Amino acid sequence: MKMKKQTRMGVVVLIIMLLVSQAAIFASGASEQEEDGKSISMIHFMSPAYEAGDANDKAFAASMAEYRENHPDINVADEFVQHDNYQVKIKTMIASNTLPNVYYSKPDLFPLLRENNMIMPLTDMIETDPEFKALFKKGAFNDFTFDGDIWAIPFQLQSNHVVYYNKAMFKEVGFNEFPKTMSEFKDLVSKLRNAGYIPISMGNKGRWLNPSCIFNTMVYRFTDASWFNSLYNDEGATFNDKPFVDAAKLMSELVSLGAFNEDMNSIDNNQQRVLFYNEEAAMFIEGSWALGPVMDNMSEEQLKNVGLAILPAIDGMPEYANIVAGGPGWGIVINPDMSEATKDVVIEFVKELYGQTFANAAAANGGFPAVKPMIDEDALHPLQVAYNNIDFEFAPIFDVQLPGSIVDVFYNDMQQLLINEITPEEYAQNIENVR
Amino acid sequence: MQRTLPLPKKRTMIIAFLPPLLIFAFVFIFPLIFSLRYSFTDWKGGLSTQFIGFDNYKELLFDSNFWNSLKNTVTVTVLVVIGQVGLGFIIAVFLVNKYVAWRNVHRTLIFLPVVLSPVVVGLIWTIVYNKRNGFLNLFLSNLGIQNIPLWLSDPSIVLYSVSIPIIWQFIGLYMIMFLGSLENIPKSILESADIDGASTYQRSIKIMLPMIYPTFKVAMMLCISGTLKIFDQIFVLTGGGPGQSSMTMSLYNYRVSFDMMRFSYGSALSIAMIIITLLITGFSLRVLGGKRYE
Repeated sequence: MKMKKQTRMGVVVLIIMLLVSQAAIFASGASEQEEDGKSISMIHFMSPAYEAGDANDKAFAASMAEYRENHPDINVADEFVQHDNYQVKIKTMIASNTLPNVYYSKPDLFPLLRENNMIMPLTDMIETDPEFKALFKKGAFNDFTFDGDIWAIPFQLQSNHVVYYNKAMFKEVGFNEFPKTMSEFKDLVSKLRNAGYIPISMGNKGRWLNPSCIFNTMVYRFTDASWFNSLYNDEGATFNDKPFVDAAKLMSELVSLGAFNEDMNSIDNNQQRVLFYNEEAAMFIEGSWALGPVMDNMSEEQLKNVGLAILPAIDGMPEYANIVAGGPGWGIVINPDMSEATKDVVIEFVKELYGQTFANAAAANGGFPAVKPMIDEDALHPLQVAYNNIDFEFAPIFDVQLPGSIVDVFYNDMQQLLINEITPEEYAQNIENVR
Repeated sequence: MQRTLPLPKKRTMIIAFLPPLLIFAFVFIFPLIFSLRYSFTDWKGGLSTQFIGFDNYKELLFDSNFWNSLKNTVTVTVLVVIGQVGLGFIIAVFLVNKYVAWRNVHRTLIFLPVVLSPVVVGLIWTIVYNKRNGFLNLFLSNLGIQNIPLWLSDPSIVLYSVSIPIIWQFIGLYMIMFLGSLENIPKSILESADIDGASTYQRSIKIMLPMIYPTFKVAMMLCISGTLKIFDQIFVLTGGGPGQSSMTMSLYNYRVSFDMMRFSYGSALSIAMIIITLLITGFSLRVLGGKRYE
């Protein structure tokens, strides 16, 4: 049968459009930046809403303003994307090869970025400038070092795990200080439950809170970073190893003790804090980033009762007592796809942006910069001093280092472990299965 | 036979249709073709891709998470079709009844959620379902009911809990469709049914439903195809959790593509979704019958 003329015409038009759009897509893959060293493109999640922002947002605004003032001839085109959407945005930019000169990334994306030549080793930039290197706290670059090269600049060093607790409630059930061992801790949990409080409020709706802020450090109560490194580098360790399974068992045990609120999988991390602010819960566990909101949302009177701690040691394993999951998390990354002139400007930009100005502003606002801040301790809030006094020993954050496919199971199945849908052994096995 | 307007010249037609066709092709047909291409590669979102044949599809056949998400999607679709089309029809039948007061008020209020963004609906219902301050639990506990379930945390009921907001949002749309066609039923037919002594039930099921069957069929198809790709409300309410218990196909696809960065496997999932959706809608069309009652 003969095709109708109209239909045939339509097909021809479609084919032409297909070819044109293919060509257009491949053409747009080429870089479109100005190549004169006068323009820097950047994408970040530092909120420009200065008042509502956290310490990093405020420090970023201060530092950026200073850079712009010092370099009026350089145009910094920065694009803001909200933190939760940032990860999706950056992944889309990788997929379409439209990354700007400077952006943030976590180490889990480094292998992909390196494979596609979208990330530049920064070892030279740091080693040739000892003054810049000396600004940073010890171990700041550890999480970003792979194959002997440093790939990113950290802007913060924070603990993924801090226990915020209510001293008054602890006293009420007979604890004058934070428990030193896990058996005491379990005793405390039972007593708090009997006294009618939620022992630990948990908002795990976003799936990351428990695995990242609680469980990760719980694993470090049974082992140290060498276990994770062995697992990461495929040197023998597996998720079925005793420390991991034991930690999962401990988590299950805490659930059966009634340590958490029942609706833990349907409220989020902001709501978990509210339970603590309202004095319905005796503890909540989150990263150090929650310190700012706690200070903003509780009255000075209430704050006097707030204590900071980390999960106590397992009985008979005091050697692991100070290890917590923590580190810089995000790092600043430079995209090598640009001219030499631009490259020099960009490197200077990154150094100035995340130098002393940023660190001082961040520390003054309750942040935890990777650069040692030059700030008077008297100017700090007692809670910040308390935080600084905790003897953290940072170890790798699982979900920052591991690839997305493993993290997805690590997150998802934790929700099921928490409602007894799977056993601790199954939890470990399910993660091992995707490794 | 009547002719109102002369047909325009073919060239004029092509010029007129080209812009919408271009847009449609750009946002729908080309991505589809690219997806198909990517589904045969191992593309993880970088520049390097390798052709791997049918590996993604082989993996998909044995991916229990995918089949689980399909099961969830079908369950939600069944619930939503019953809720939206079924309840929508019942409400429409009530509203055409001349004894109902304030018909316009009812109609407006029931239609109102349709204009809301799905994300807003998701957020509203997160608050409704909240254990402590939620409206629903407050209401139930004031009635003296103990042991109120955890609406969004209990895997055995979470699919029902997430279906209700979806039903609530779009019930008005189907109600309006039915109202429109119910009002077109000739009064004489309903009057003669009344004279013959038909009950309200008989009147609705044996007279009204067959009279509006073409509308009913369209509503069913819209509802089924719309719900098979449901994403937004559930994404906001549970994100597919706890675990995988409210994961639908689109949500799973999102997780695979953007959380696990496996764009090629995500593309394969999309192609599978299209095929499954076509099969299900095609099957429903068969069951509903092409010409019945016409």
